[in-house]
Formats: sequence, C-alpha cells, structure tokens
Amino acid sequence: MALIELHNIKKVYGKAEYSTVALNNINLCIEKGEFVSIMGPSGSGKSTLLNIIGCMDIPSEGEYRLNGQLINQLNDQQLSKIRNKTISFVFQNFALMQNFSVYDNVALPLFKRKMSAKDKKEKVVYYLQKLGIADLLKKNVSLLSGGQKQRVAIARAMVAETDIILADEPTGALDQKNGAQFMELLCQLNEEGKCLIVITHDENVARYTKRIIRIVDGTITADRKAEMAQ
Amino acid sequence: MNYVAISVSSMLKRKGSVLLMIAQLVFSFWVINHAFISMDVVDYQEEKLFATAEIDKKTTLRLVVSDGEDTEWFADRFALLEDYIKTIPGVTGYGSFDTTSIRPGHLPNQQAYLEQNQRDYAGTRRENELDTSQAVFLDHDIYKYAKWKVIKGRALHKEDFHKRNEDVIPVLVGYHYRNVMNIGDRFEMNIHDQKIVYEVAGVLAQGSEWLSGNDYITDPVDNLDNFIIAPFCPLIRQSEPMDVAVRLHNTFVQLDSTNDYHSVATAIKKKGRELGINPKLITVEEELQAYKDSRKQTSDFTLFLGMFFLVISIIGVISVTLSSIHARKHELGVRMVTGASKRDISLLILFELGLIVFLSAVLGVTLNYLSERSGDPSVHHVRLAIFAWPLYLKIAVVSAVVILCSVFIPLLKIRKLQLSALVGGRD
Repeated sequence: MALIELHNIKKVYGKAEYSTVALNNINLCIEKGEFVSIMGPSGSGKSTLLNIIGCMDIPSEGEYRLNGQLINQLNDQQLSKIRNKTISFVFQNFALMQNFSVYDNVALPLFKRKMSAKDKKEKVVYYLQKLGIADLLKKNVSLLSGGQKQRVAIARAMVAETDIILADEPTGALDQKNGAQFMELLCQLNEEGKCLIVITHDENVARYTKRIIRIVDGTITADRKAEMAQ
Repeated sequence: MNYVAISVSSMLKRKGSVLLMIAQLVFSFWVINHAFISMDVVDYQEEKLFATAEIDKKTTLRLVVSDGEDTEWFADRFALLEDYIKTIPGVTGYGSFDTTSIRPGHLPNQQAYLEQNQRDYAGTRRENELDTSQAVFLDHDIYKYAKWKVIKGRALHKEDFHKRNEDVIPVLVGYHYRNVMNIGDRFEMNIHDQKIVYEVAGVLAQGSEWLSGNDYITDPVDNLDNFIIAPFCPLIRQSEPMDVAVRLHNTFVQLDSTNDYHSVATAIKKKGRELGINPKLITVEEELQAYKDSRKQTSDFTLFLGMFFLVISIIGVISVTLSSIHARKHELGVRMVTGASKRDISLLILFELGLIVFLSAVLGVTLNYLSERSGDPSVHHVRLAIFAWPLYLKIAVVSAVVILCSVFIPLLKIRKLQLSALVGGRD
C-alpha cells in the first residue's frame, strides 16, 4: 500500500462557464520515504496538487487515499487531525505568524497534542538546537532573516514529527547559499525516513530529489526517477 | 499556547480596537445594571418591608388624611377620629409611630454614650450631634408588628404603653448601647418644658431594623443599633398640633380580615365628614403597587436605553471581530495548516469575545457599584444591597446573549474560510 494514492483526480474552480480546470486525471502513487519534486510552469496546477495532497483542499472528482484512508469524504475536523499528525508544510513565504516568537511558531503543531508545557518546550528546543537556531527561541519572527525564517518553518515541520513534509517553493525566497543549505536539510530529513514532496520550478532544487514529476496544464506529463545532484 | 494565552496575546496585539470594544460594552453593562437595580430595588424593598414588620398586604392599612394640618382645630378632630376608629367592629389594632431625634439627659454613663455616638456617627451628618440619638416612639399596636429580639433585660409590655407623663417610661436601646446604657439606667428628656423620665428595660439584638419614619414604603429601613425605642406618652403623642401632624405619615389600622375593609373604610369616611376632615384608608398592597407603578416607567426607560446601547455595542463588536478575522487571515491560516480545525479557530474567536465581554461586564458592574456608592447616602445602601448573586446571574445571562449575538456572523465568516487561499494559494 502506497503512502499517497491519487486516482483520476480532477479539481475544478468556479462554476459552469466560469469554471477553470486546475487538475485533470491525475494518477499518482508516492511511497513512504520518497523524495519527490513536482515541477511545472506557473499556473500548471502544482500548488493545487500540493493543497490536495496536504488535505488543505479536496478534489472535485477522483479518489485520494492517504495511508489507505479515503480522504475525499472526511470533514474539517478529520482533515485537520491529518494535517496535524501526518503532514507538515513548508512554504515559500514561510507561513509564520508574524509578531509571534520563534517558540510560539515552532510549537504550533503541538497545540492539540496532549503534552505538558515542559515537554513541549523541550521538544521545540531540541529541534531548534538540531537546526542551530536555539538562541532565537524568544525572538520575534518578524525580526529574522529569510534563511532563519525558513529554518524556523522547517523546525515547525520537524516538531510535528509527521511522516510527510510538503514544501511549496521552499527556496523561492532564499539566496543561493541559504537555498542550498535548506535543500541539504531536506535531504537529511529524507535520509531519516521522511517522505518529502517539493513543489518547484527550479531545476537545481529538483536535482536534490529522487523522483521528478512534471505537470503541465493540470496533467502529469512526466514522472521519472532522478539522479541526486550531490 | 493554550486558548487563554492565545486570546490574551491576540488581544494585546490589537489593543486599540479591543479597548474600544470594551469601552462600548462597559457603558452598556453600566446602564443595563443600573436598570436591573432600579427594577429589583422595588422587590427588595417589598421583601424588606415584610421581613421587618409583621404587617399584612391586605389587612394592614394606612390612615391618610389628605387635608391634615398642624392646627389645634385639626388635632382636636383627629383625636376624635382616632377614638372612633378603635371602636369600629373589625378593627383589631390602631396606632402610629414616629422617628425623631432626642437628647437624653442625665445619663449615668454620659461619656461612654458620647464616645459610642462618636464612633457610630463618624462621617455622617450626625457627627456634630453626639449628644443625640434617633428614637422611635410608637403605640402598642405598632410595637406588635415589630420582629425585634431582646438580648438583655425584657421586652416592652402592653402596660408600658399606657404610662402617664409623670411615670417612669421603660425603653429599649439599640445593640451599640448595650455597654453604655445598663438595664435600669434612667435618663430624662425635656419636652414642651416638661420632664419625662425613661428607664432602660432591654437591649435589642444586633441588626434590628424598623421602617423609615419618612416613608415606610420607599425609604430604606433604619438599623436600630444606635436607636432608642420608646412608647408614646400623652405628651409626645398629641400635646401639640405638630405631634399629630407628624404621626399622620405613619398611622395604621389593622383589620381582622379583608371582609371588614369596606365597612371600616366607609365608617371612617363617614365619621371624617362629620368632623369636617377627609380621611381614607389605603392597604399596604395598594401603596406598594403605586410605588411600583411610579418606578416602572423610569426603570423601563433605563432598560430600553441599556438595550439600545447594547445593540450598538454588539454591532461594533461584530464589525471589529470581522475586521480582526480579516486582518488575521494569515495567522489563522498558519494555525489551520498546522492542525487547527475551523472549530478550533471558532473556539479561539469565541474565547476572545468571551474574555472581552466578561471583562466589560465586570468593569461595568464595578463602575455602577462605585457610582451607586457615591450617590445619595439615604438610598444607596438599598441599591447596594441589590448587588448580589441574582443580579450577577442576570448580568451573566445578558453577557451570554451578547456573546452569542456577536459571535454568530464572525463564525459564519470562519466557516467560509478557504485554507488553501490563506497560506498556499492556487497555482
């Protein structure tokens, strides 16, 4: 059983004559521990695909199974539980809560976990130390650099200890050096067994992944195993 | 962070709009609370009236003489009317009471008496009259209404109310005088150039109360801890036209049953006509109803005003909450991406609103309490007595209604939030 199974997925925005088909007939299987990049030009539907895989959106047609569980019919409560326990996200714009501290941001996924405040703090500090940014714990995220923000975002994904990490253009707002360091970090997480799916239009980023899926006009045009760049 | 921490932190980040919301709500709660007190004070006073005196709504009646005056002519006729009333079949009691200030002379413990009064009168308008006490003079049939408990000495007996001016008249003293005036202590009073001698017969229990001499319905009851209770003697009761005129406010007729009302009222009216005066009887129930009616208009208007401000506040709260949700879309999106459901977000908003409404209600009630306390001292302790659980319960219900009304539209807005549009976006 694959970790992620998409069968004949179609996503349509709008109604009747004003509708736009963002995804059409998507069939995709992603196994545990894979490191996948989804590439495509702007407007090709790659972010929509990520939203569906990440349970942030539901398909108009087709069947989506995550760990064998049919996602299509789940309600908001159940989807939020999956987002909390199974999937983490890293976004190009970092998706951090401005004017909140690094700790508040990183500890977000633990909000619904039954853990003591002490255990939560220990866990947050552990991952921040692993990423070398423990000294930023109490700092307001709006005062951080782009590289630091992305590390905070990945720390948040790591704290959740989910099987899947979805990254939407994660290096888009980083300079080349920080971008490379960030991709190294993702590789490391993949080696630890995490399944990583990266949305990118950057070939250099895609080269870090083990499988490249190309999508054009909402349809998968290529799906091949790739050689690691490093 | 838990819901409390998130809500407080979010409120601190939006101090301006939160303060504005709180200010609006505090004012509304202040007015609503004021209205509730105005409504409750009538019931409170009714309850207090019956808790203080053993009177009956229907069979205890007040004698009202609308053309009463302080003249010899009237006093003579009123005395004849009083004598007649006591003979009417169905009348089981008749009497008056009067509350006045007295200056007890030749007290054995004069210094202790002055010191006690200094303590009791501190900060009141009586602090310059330390050698005086308030006294309730009353007839035996009125004394029977009292629910006082005597903790030292003895209660007053029927014969104590039939003393002559030259007799030693037994009195009861308030609890604060228990160590100042001993049983058997005597003091004198000069009334109309004549000396009356009183003797302490008993001490009332702490917190004993009696009806106000000004208006037994609308005015708060008097605490008798520093009062003296004395039977009327002829000199005080009716030696001067003024003595009669002041008793007119508090003269009561007790009927055997409600069936006697018509015949007694007719007989009194008839006798009054013969004497050239215009007496009538009003039941306690009628007086209470008249009081309620007079207060209803004011309290209804205040309540309407409070409700109006509350509606305005709710609209304000809804607007601010909606704009807050709009401004916090990114934050809410991030929370949802990391596992918060729409229900969690709704709970957050509900919690924030609850906190704001709770704070406003507490502040509104507190401010109202302080403003009531700084009001007219003769009535404020009645209004302050209303500040208790039943009032807080009403305010809690109003708060719940405010929260429900304010949160409904924002929750609809949250239901419509599209997570993918909040943080990710469509490609």
